[in-house]
Amino acid sequence: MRRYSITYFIGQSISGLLRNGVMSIASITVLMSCLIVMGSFALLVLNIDYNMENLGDLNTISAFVQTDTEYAEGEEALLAGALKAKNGAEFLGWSLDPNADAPTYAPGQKYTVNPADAKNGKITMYAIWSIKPQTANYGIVYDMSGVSIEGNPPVDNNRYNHGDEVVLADAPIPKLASNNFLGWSVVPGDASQLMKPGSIYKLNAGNAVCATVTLYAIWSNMPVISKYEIVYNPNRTEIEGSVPTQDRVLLMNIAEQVSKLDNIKRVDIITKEMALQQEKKRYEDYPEVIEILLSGKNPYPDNFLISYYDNDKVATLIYQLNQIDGIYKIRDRSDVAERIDSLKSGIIVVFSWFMILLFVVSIFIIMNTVKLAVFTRKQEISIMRYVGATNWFITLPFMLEGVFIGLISAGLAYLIEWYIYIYLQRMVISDTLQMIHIISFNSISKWLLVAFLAIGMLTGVVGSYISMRKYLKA
Amino acid sequence: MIDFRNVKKVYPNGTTALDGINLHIDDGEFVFIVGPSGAGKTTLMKLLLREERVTSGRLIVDEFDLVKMPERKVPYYRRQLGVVFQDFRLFPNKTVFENVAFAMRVVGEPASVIKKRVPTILSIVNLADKYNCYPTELSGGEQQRVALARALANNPRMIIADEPTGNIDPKMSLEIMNLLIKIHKRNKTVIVVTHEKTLVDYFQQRVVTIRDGRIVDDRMGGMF
Repeated sequence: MRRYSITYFIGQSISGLLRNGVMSIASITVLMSCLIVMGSFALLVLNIDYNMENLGDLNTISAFVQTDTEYAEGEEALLAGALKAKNGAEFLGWSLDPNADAPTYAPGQKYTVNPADAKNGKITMYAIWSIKPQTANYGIVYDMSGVSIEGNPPVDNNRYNHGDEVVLADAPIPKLASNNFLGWSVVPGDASQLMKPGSIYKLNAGNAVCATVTLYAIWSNMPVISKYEIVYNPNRTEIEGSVPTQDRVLLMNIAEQVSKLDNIKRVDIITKEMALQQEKKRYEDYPEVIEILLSGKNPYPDNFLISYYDNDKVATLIYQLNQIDGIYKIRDRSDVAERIDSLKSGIIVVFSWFMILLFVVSIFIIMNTVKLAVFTRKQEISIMRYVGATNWFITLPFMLEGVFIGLISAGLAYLIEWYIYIYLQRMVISDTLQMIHIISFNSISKWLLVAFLAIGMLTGVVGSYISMRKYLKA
Repeated sequence: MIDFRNVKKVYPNGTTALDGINLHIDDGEFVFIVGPSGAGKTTLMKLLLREERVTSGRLIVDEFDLVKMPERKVPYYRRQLGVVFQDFRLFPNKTVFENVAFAMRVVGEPASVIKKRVPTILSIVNLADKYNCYPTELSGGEQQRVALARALANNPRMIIADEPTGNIDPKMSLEIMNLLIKIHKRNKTVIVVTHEKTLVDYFQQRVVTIRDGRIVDDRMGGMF
């Protein structure tokens, strides 16, 4: 059996490296510099990407929505879509009358606000189902008639039958001391049939709407109602999901319009509640700020976070968004995105040219080193040929020489890169505000080493192959 | 068996080195190739070693067709030949043993075989005691014997010697020629290119004379 000893080839190539002395050192130095520059650029681009990720997706637009869903007389309101009943009943539509057999309004239809439909400023839309719900017993709800009070409105969770005695709740305390609570009434705003707090009310099914008797607070100063709220009532049927609010109806409608536009990647709704929660979390360590946030009305508007694909078409998108009813303000980051993109592509162009130049130089120098090695062993090679050595037997030591140059350069470049990177990292962390984030070296070290070794070896092999090529002829 | 059939060799610069060569050498023959310098002896050698390609005609060595042979088969063909040069071409930085062993290592012979075979070959050329010397420590005749040992290392069918005595004093030359005859008697084809009249005349073998690229004389026991 024929056997070739690998130690022979390795020995030959190492002695070749040593014999070439200065040339070997020159090629190792140049290839090493090439790899260091390449590594530095790659790390720079990686860090830019990493920092951009921290900045968030720059291809986003924030669109703010006015969801003040109180309507004046004669205004049109979009009604909520279909609900889904848990008992399998089919949703038919909305009606102002909870006992209606057929709905007045289809889901998603428009309704013109009529004050005659309102009770205490609230227009209640009852869900109408294919299976009529059975009236069980009755609940009690207290309504403050639009007056702000100290604490929460009274709650009564008991269920009553027709004729049962209900002990009415205590008097609520108004925020404005000049307003006086007069009593409870089953008819909103009607001061003629007042019931005293704490007195007994005999439940009358005739007062109930949708199995609920509402007791309205009557005040000495009743607020004047000019705007009406629309509320939805599932009408004694258990539904899947939550009961819609008019805010939600409006938001969903806008979201649907937005997602139909071109160039849209993703639409996220950030409701004012979510925005408030986020801010609360952000100022966790500053309770006084949270206090200010929590007092009074939620200062945050509802907001759409719109991600898009193409930064070039952003102007069109902004124009189209402005056309949508309800969106009143748009904020975009396209200028930042554009600047960072151009910076990155600039770096990549410079980097690529630099790389090509350095690789050509590296290959050229390795070629010369190997050529020198071949030249000094020209006679040996011719003897090898006469005793019948195959091409690979002759070239392998020279190729290995190139590989060793590549590997040594890669190893040295890696160590130097490592040192420089950690040094810079320490400098950036201690000297700047922590605006710039730096990827830890450990998380990329493996890839960097593999890339260095691979590129180093490849350069070595290509360099020596080119210079060996003409000797491959027998 | 070597068969030149109407071989012509023209170099790229236009020089016609060989023209209309017809030569047949049987297995186990001993042949002197003689002629004045520039006659085409060296070209004939180069064609045989497949260092140069034939311009036209046919050249067959045993089962190898040197005209059609692809480049990658050349090394395997050369393993059938043992070559000796005028200038020895030994590795100066290797010992006698290593020089001979190298030829075997090139063809992938295992170390155990090399260890056994090299001393045997060195004893054939009477150099068994000099195995650890470097070529520079040897005389010209001894160096040529090392080269001969290397040529024999892979047990070739044929030995080609190009002016083997050109750099050696006459006494040593005779010894080298005796060795070649000894090898020939071991049933190997031996081809010796030379222009040393006395040697050719002394050994009385087949002599092929080349002049101006043509064979002008070919006879047994011939004279220069």
